[in-house]
Amino acid sequence: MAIGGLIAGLFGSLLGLGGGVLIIPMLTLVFGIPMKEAVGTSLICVIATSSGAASLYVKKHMADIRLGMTLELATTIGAIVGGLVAGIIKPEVLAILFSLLLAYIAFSMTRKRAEKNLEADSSNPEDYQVNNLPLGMGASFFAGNISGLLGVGGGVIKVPTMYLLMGVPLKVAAATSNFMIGVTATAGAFVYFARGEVDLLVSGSTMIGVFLGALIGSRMLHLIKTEYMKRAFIIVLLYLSLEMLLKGLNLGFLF
Amino acid sequence: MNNKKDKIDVWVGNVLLVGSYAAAVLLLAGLFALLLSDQTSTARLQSKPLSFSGFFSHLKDRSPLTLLNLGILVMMLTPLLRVITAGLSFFLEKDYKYLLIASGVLIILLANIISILI
Repeated sequence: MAIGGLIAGLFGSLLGLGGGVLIIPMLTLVFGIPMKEAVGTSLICVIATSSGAASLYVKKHMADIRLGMTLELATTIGAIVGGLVAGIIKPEVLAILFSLLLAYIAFSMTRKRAEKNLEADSSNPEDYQVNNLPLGMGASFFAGNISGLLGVGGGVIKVPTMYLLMGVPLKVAAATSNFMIGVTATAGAFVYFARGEVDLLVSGSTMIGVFLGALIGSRMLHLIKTEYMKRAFIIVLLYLSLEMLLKGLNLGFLF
Repeated sequence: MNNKKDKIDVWVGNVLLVGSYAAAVLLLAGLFALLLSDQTSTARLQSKPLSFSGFFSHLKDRSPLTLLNLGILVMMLTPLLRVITAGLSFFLEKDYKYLLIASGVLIILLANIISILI
């Protein structure tokens, strides 16, 4: 499990994902852990990757703490609601929703727009105005919901919201999203914790793997051509999405 | 203004850094202790859920699970601590609007935790 966590952390940080996207399929499909426990465990792991990475971003003054804090008002409530809802719906439904999320992420990775924009992003990170705050709050609530419900960070929603709707430069949006994820995941994690759905040994070993993986990944980032890895990863995501769907429908494994 | 903004960033960054590394060290130590302890007891302990009270009972048993439990709790409380740190630095800057916002976030998180304990 620690090794699985290591791999999830490594690839997650190389591809700019929180790791939850990989942790949940690993725990449920490979180790046969119940869906809700996997979500609880994943939330804890997401806190670990977010705190580790955010400490660097924050010190480099890339994250907008004031904006992050404001949006956290909405995202924490969203995460708690999401966690509570997860408690009452069937694990099969969660698995199907997760499968849809994976497919969506795979799809959004095929459009390379965001990455190109990151390179072309010449706007001054010190000088921008935040627009559409109410809309951003709404989207943050929704991102928190997804996070609490499915055990991911919710950056997939937060980053485009800040960048496209609120006029925040992409680098700042990515760093601020990462900064917020720690608090979002904590809010959700306590709900699972309260239901006794966070297993000590499972989360301890996965978490240390994810943390070390993210640590190594963030240092390897400049050494590796992520383009090929990204294509391979899209296929992996689609495969996992399919397996999670079959799991949700109780149809067993495809391969 | 820039100078002040830098200060908050450094403080909050340090809290996150220290919290996550402390938790990682505790987890590593806990896992090693588990590997060194006898296998039968680890199998028996396998499916224990994480809990606040569990921490004290493990402590009494001198179980390696104490370290794991503590490591995870430290990790979970680190974001909470960084909300408090940011709130304090807003207070020192007399930035009351954001002090209020940080307090709001803190109240939501604390209400969530307290609802677990009762």
